[in-house]
Amino acid sequence: MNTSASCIRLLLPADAAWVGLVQAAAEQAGAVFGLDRDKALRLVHCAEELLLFLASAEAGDIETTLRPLSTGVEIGFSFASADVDLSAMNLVSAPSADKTDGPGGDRSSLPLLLASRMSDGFRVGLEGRRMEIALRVDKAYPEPEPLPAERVRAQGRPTLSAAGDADALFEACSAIAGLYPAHVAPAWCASPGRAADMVRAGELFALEARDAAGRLCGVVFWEMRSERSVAFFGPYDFSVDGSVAGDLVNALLQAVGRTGAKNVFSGLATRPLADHGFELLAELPYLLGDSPTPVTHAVWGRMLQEDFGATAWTHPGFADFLRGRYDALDLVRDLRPVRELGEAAQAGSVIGARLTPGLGEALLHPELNGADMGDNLARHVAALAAAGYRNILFEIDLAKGWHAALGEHLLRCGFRPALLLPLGGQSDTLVFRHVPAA
Amino acid sequence: MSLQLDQLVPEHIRLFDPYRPSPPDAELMRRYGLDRLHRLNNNENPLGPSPAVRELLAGIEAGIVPVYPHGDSQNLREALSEVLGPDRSRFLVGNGSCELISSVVKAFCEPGDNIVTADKTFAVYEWVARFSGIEARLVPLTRDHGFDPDAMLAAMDGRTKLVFVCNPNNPTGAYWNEATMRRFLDAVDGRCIVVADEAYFEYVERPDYPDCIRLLDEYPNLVVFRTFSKMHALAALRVGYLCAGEDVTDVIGRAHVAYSVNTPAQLAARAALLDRSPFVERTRAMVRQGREVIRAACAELGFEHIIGEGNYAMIRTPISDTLLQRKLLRRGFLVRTMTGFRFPNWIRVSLVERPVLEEFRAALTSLFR
Ligand SMILES: Cc1ncc(COP(=O)(O)O)c(C=O)c1O
Repeated sequence: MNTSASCIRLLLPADAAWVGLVQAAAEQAGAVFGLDRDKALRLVHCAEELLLFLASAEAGDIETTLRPLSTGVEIGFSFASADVDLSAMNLVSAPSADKTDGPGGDRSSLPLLLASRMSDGFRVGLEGRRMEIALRVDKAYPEPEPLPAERVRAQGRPTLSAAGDADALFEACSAIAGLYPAHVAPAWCASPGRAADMVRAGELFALEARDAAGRLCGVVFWEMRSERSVAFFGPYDFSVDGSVAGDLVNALLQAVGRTGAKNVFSGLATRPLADHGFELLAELPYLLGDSPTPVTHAVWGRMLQEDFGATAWTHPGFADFLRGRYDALDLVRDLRPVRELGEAAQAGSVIGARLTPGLGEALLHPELNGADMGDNLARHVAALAAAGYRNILFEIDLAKGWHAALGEHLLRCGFRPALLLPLGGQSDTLVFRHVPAA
Repeated sequence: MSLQLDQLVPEHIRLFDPYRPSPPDAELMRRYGLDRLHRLNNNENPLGPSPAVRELLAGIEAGIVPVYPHGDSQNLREALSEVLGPDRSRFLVGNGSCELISSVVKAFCEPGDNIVTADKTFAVYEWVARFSGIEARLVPLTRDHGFDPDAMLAAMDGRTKLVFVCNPNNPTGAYWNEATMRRFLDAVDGRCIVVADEAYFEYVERPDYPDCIRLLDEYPNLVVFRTFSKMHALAALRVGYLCAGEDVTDVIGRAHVAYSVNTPAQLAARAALLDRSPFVERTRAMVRQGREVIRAACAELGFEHIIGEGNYAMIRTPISDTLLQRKLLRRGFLVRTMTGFRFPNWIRVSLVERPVLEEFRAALTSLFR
């Protein structure tokens, strides 16, 4: 687990008797770490509910961590996974008969409830042999009215430099809001203070282009999506002739080229990038708000390092998709089909999740295989859809045979392969998208 | 027992991304279904080694293997002294010049110090500094792709211990002439060690290119690196050397592992050095021809290129270097992608025998026409 100097930790048994303790810790940490009263109360509520939830799941000894993030506070609970029925840790788990009557009632979809109503981000998953469930509560940032923006006629070739202070980011975010459709503006653009905090913490990177007169001509943002991959936003080109995008992309590639990242792809792309040495990885429909018509997010990507071929597990359900993508991307892979060998799986599966309520996006991934995986998936989809998540994705790592073997369940549950990310994880990762009609 | 690796490993190691070499050729050929593979990625010399080295290697007795090599490569240093001039005490031999980069950083830098080099150059200077916990200050190249002496001087401060000048630069082939080198050394004025990495020294045929070993007596803070991996074609044996003033060599030697250069490597390097056959001249002719083939290919395809000194050329194509690397590998050519050198969408190609480069040109043309 990530430790930082001012992180608060409590070691305690998962027992309802300690609710007051974690509430008090959350309240004080919320205040010290900069949440306002309202947000701090949410944190308290998350702490209380999670402890009661873990008590009902008989999680044993737990560690509670309250950690300041650049933009808020995260409360996490972790415990040794060995003797606990982890299936209760799913965002939604099967209601179990013997627990519905106990104190607190049915808690089978409590994590989802908390994640959606109380927090701004949620993740659950295994970290080595410990299970961790964490909720993020963001600071309330001002959302100022964007400054008026218009396209600029650049004087000479703009120079590029890192942008980080809130005013510069406000200017950039205003130009994005004024010159680009809302669906290609990153969520944090609405609150430049938040973006500035992320940049200061090294979670977000921004490069701006200014001309000889000091006028802002463009900006590109990026973040590490994982240890091995970079997601970028932009390039946002504010010039009248669109002459700045190329320099921005080049500078982005120079900045990430000698890091450990193996690939870079667009989180939000603003234009076709084939002319800048990117390959089209997918065109993903996204349903935003209540809109019946999806917007299309093209995903443009490229590798940053040489590729000498690799092995990937595959399943008949998506083998053709993989072959098509590998051919299109000129990637050489030994495709190894998974086989049903009839080994006993443990009972309860666990699906990890990252929720971004603002985008209505749920990104799921397998954590633990189990005999109930098919049902578990269906439960997740039903509950997420009911909670308003209209973009449900599921990512598997093709380095792991058991991930590939989930192909069957995924297809049956309405997921379709949509995006192959070369070396997006331990090996290539494959992202499925839930297609309700499928 | 559980190992708390995070608590044992310093941050600069934890955050360091190790270099991952390509798989063995046979494995690559199997994966890509190739019956031949042309290595254009490491600036190797396919004509080598020289006849004298071949003869020597063929005659090596297994009996030398149980015995440790000369711990300080004495006979090889004797030969270096004989051929190049300075006393043998001023040479230090390493397991490739990469080992010497590591030794010089260990010898001079402690936490809080920094090194200065270029942003678009051989990566090992920056890597060794970073995984040693030393700051690497990277100065952008000039418009014509050379090291920028003034900007490097400006980047130096009281904690700058080393400046690495790759001369000629890998990958751009740009070089400092003698006047520029002298001006720079005069301006540094002994405040820190200046390493002139002359890995491609033997390939440069320009009259104004400086032989920095001849400048050593005037500049006691100068250290010259050379290698047997490039022109002399002993890359597999791993031998490089440095030459500096006697006291500087002595200091670097303290941070350098003795016995790191094996006996066949020492013998072969000595034989290569003393070989008077036309091997070096033949290699230079091959490289000259190679430049012409690549220039013609780029002219035909309308591709930007950077061709300077050294046995390599850079080409910019309309697709990503990483995609092009994969496409060329399918056709039997291994090239170096340049995104890692901060030249996105450029590839670097070693200048090898003309027929191979003609084939390469045909492959490139077939991809883009
Ligand atoms: C500029 C430069 N210096 C040093 C080296 C390392 O050579 P060696 O094989 O001696 O370690 C290389 C090899 O590519 C190089 O290009």
